[in-house]
Amino acid sequence: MADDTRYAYAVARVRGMETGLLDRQWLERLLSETANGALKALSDSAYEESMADVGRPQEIERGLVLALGETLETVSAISPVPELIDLFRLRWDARNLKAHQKASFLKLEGEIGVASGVGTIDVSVLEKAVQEKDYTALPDFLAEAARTAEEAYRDRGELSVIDAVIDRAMWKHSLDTATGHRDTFLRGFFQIEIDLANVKTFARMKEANRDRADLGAAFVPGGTLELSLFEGLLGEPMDAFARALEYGRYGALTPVFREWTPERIYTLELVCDNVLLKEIEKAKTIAYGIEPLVAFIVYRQIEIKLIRTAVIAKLDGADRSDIEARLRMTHV
Amino acid sequence: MRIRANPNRMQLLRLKRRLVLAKRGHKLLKDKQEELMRRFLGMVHQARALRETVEAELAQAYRAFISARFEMDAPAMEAALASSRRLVELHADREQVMNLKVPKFTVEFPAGAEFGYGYLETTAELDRALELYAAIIPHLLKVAEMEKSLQLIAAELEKTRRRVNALEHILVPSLEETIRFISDRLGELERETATRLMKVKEIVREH
Amino acid sequence: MEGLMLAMAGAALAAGLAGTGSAVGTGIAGQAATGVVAEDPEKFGRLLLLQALPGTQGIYGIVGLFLAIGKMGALGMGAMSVANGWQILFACLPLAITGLTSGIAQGKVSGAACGLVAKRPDEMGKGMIFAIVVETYAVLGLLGTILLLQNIS
Repeated sequence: MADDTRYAYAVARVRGMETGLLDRQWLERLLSETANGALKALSDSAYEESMADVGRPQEIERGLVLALGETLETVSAISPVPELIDLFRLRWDARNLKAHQKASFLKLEGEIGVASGVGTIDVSVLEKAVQEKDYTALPDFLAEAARTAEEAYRDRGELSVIDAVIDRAMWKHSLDTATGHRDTFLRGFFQIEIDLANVKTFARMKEANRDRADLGAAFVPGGTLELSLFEGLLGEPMDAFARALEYGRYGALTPVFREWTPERIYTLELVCDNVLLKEIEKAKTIAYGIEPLVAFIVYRQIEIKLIRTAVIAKLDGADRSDIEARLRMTHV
Repeated sequence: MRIRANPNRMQLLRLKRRLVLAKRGHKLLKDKQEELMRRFLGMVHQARALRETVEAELAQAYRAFISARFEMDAPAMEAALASSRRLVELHADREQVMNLKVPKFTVEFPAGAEFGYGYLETTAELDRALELYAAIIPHLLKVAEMEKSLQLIAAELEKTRRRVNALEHILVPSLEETIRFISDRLGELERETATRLMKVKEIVREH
Repeated sequence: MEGLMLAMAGAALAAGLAGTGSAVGTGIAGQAATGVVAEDPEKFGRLLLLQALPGTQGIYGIVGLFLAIGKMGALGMGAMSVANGWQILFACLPLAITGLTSGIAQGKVSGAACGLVAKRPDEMGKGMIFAIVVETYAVLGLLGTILLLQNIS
């Protein structure tokens, strides 16, 4: 892609913000501290603001969600094309919408599973829309999806249809928007994300002995891996799946499926994140474009996972080696 | 310890009958105690082994759960747990063990159970943790069933043991003592009567 | 008069295009520099230098303009032949073209160097060297124009 000099300002700022990402030395500190110490260490880092009213390590989740929200908002604000970056925030809108819909169908009280401050739509607006079944305040595609999900749930009575409908609509909108802006990088990136999501779904379906219909219902179209590939392999041993991926762009995933054991399921998440990290590594060489912005978001997301892992593991008294086994390649 | 009783033949007969009854009761209770003990010991090992397995399973499930927590943010976890439903049908019954009624549970997982969460924001580890927990439920109920039974049996055993002891160490000895006392007393009375008769005979002969 | 007209067009192109190159280039570098300063205001001084680098093409353009005017004076201004006019016009083109392209290109490199300064402030020198390499071609363009102008008679 040709240099998109509209991004000069945003990329430079992101480069500045990248200095605030946690480096090896910092990681070392996080790993050697207690949970309380880790929290303290976070409050003199880029997480200072979001951790301001987190008093105990048990409440760290709130701070982490806030930190992610803040990152997404900042990057979106400095981006010359905010609607592209907002696609990353949109996922949270979709999630919040799903949470509200499920809570309303299950007649649960309170905000269960709703993350405020991360999406583009205020959670109270979403809540009101779901309660009054009036989705006009939502973006068109989300409103449409919400209505479809509601009908589908009424027909089938299964909560999973809500996820299927809204997730698909969300991804379709993301791909369409990226295509509309002729952003081949972002489109490709979303496709990788979709592929990885489908690979994970496939592995879980296989693990739970689900059938083709279940797989088809949870499959997200739009990626480079077709549903037929997964369907054909559902009845085969996991090794066959490893072979199918081996020489494609997801060859990095093969070792996980080759040595598939329940105890090592977590490595799937790990290698998938590594595939994403590898994809955005090209952002390092791009000075004018959306790539560094996306890369920064991905780094932050992974960093947040890392902090969560470290703090929860510490609260739980896990060994350092347990935490280290879950570290991804980092940006440093 | 002697029972207060008039030392007469009627009493003696009655006491002897009571002694026979007490001895028979003692034997029966002793048998029951042994049987309870046998069952108790058999179950205790089984229950301990089961409890250990369940505890290990719980630890494993907990580890899987924690490791799912590593990868998932709190709202996603909250949403997933709030919306995943699993139907469990539990039948609580009673089973007769000797004179006791112990609980008996049967669990069934009817089809149509669902994890009502999406695949995008949850991880395979959560599936695994929830599966593990679901698999523990029958075992957990079995442990509850066995441990309650053991408690009931232990209480019954204790009660029986006290009765056996009471019979063996208090009632039987005191009955025996009283019987001995009464028969001694009766024998003495007899001898007294005999002497008295001999004395009377002698007096009669002298005249 | 037609000769002078052509010569002026050449001089105007040299100054205008090279100036445009600089304007766009400093614009890009300036945006990037602003982005970095937003995160760390202390880097202002160093970034100003990086932003100014693509500004030189504009100056070369003006230098070229003056030289062309000087030449026009030497050739008698209005009395200049049409051939001389064309000569000056063509002589100005190297500066005009390299000024425009190198200005923009250097702006991009400078902007990227701003990113470098944001991440690794100690490596600023290297970033500047990368930008200065682009400068070479603006200088060569100017040199070409000067040589060509000198050979007009």
